[in-house]
Amino acid sequence: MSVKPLRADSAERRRKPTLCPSSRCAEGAILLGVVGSDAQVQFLNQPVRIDAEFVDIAHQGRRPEKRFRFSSPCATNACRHWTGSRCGVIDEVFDSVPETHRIETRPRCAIREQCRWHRQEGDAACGACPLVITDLMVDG
Amino acid sequence: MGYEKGTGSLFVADLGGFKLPAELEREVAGKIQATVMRALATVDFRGDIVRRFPGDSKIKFPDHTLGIWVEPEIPR
Repeated sequence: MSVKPLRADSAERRRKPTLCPSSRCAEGAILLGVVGSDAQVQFLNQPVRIDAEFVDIAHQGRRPEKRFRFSSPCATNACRHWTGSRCGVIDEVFDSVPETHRIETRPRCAIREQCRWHRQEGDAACGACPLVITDLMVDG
Repeated sequence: MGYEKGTGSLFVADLGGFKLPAELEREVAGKIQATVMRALATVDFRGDIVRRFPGDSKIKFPDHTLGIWVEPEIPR
């Protein structure tokens, strides 16, 4: 299993694409954090790209998108959540998560400058982001 | 599975003043990181089960998927 720390200076970041902060567990995705027992995401100090071995192991348990948060390039029109001009997920999150539950301090986040939700909503997105669990489907 | 907020795991092998050769040092660091990632891939704090906000039931996306959904992939 290879681990590639993600580091980039600001110029490199500007060249990078907008990232979806709630993506799938797939090889090459960035592991952002782990969903804790309190249902809040604990972000890793240093996000890492996951490889095929991580994906394989993670899929041996419950769906990884219930347990982790991943990031990958925003798919815009190719994603069903794209409204034509923005990501509809963060709007749904704001409707779902009461303001009283949102986080006041911005979590450490290595993708903020490239984050789709942050580009749409600014720091308000960061208050709700740790409360987002990608897959909320109840286990059958 | 235990979970303590704000205290992340940190693994240290303190060799004092001794420094491994650079190539060996990189190899060991890679192995440690790979081991940690393999362990991390297995964790499940089941936080999704306790998370239930009143607004959750109003989420209109199929299967309550709050993540990327690129067809022909389906959310599950």
